[in-house]
Amino acid sequence: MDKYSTYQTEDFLKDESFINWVLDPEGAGNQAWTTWMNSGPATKEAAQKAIEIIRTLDFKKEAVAGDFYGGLKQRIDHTIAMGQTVPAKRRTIQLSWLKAAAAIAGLILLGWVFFNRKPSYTYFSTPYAAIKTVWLPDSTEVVLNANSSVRYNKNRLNNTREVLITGEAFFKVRHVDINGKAQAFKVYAGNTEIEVLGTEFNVRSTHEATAVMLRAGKVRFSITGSDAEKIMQPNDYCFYNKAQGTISTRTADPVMFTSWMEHKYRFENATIKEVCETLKAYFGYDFILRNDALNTQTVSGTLELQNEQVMWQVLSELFNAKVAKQGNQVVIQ
Amino acid sequence: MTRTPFDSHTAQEDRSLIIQIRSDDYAAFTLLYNKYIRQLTQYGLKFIPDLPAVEDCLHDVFVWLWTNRHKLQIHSSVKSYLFKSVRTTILHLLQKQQRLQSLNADDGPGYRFELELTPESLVEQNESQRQLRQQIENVLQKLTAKQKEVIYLRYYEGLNFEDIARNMNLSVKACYKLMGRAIATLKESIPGVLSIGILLMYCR
Repeated sequence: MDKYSTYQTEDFLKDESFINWVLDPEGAGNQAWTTWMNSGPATKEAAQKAIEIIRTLDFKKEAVAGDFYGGLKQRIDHTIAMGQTVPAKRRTIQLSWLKAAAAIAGLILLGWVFFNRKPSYTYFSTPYAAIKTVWLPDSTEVVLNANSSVRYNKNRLNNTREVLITGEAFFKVRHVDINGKAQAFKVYAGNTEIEVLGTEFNVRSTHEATAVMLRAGKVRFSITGSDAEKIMQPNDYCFYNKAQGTISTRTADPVMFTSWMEHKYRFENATIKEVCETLKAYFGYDFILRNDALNTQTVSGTLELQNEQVMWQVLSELFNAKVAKQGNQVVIQ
Repeated sequence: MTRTPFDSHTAQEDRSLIIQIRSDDYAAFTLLYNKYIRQLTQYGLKFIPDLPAVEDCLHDVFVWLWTNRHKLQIHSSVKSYLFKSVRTTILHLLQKQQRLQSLNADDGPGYRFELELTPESLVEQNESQRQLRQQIENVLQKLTAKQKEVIYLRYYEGLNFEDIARNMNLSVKACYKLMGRAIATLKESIPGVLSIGILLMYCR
């Protein structure tokens, strides 16, 4: 790094690797500068000045309301979902031979038929740390927890009520009768299916498992491509684990599983690992447990999610451990 | 510092998100949105201090990105690509609204790029830092929109000169030149600042 011994402040200000180091001293490949500075170079003062100037160039952030980003994302999701009914490509065909024309016309017709059969989905989603209520066209209410989505085919919703969810959602399904016959409502979560006839329940779906808590009414919980199924009664809690391929059922208090709608999580004899997984699903942070004893420890309590600062304090008291959040990582020890 | 550094790890992560988006992964699209929407909103507001207008542009950028995911050609970092898309869309809107005379006028007003330092109340600083801050603030007011934009993208967002030049339709050389002129203004306006190092050396 010889050339830097003749650098002036302005030269440092124009040096890309120098700027990168000031912006991110820990970044990969940037440590060489730390070494250089510590070696007491003749131009250290000039470099120091450049550092100060760059650090001062921290600009004002315009105030943007917290729900702006979620609202905008929903608008984007909506436009994209609607856009699927618009032909993606316009074909221009020059016809010289009748034969070719006929063949191409046949192809286009096929393509057109295929295209029009493509379902058009409406999509709602939530970012991390946000909860939202949406209403489906049949007036069914869906409350989405953080980082979750619900999708339905808007052309078909009138005759078969089917929705796909990811993440966690609470449903208040409206009972619909057509000619005296109750219309089914189906929720698909992962490879599980929940069939209902007007009821209130909570679904939580991850890569490995799906859990359903029924508050009122009656649902059938089944696994696609398997005989496993369970007719659920109010206060039943069903848990399906993909790896085991079985449904386990127990009775539980629905309040424990639906408190997230009031921006709270309630835990009763939950392991710290379970608590961390729940918070990971909500906030998107990675949790690192530095102490093995914490793994098996169980806790009970309520966490308010809206004030993160307070939440980390409560968590630390609940776990009786140190909770430190750095960027996207939460370290517990 | 409150800014988020842009390193090679982030760049790698972004590239894999784009690969997932190309294969129709909507969750990856959402991740990319959540990752950059705040920075892009701030950038957009520098051009037009009108949130609904910026919202419309951001909406168009992300809808376009998803709709054209199969034919995306990204030659710069993904972050830089998003910044360029937002810039183009906003300048296009300004042009449509005829708020813009000419984009090509070399250093003319063309467009606005409002840049202010973090309010003093939010930063802890000693007397000499406060002085430097004041001087930089004065210099910022003298700079052209283009110079301010280069400063913002290089020192605040951490994009490299090559990407900035591409985004602003400049040659890398012209980009350096813009930067050089901005620094020269700084040098003129801050007496002693840039020779202070040498001075201190001799005083020892």
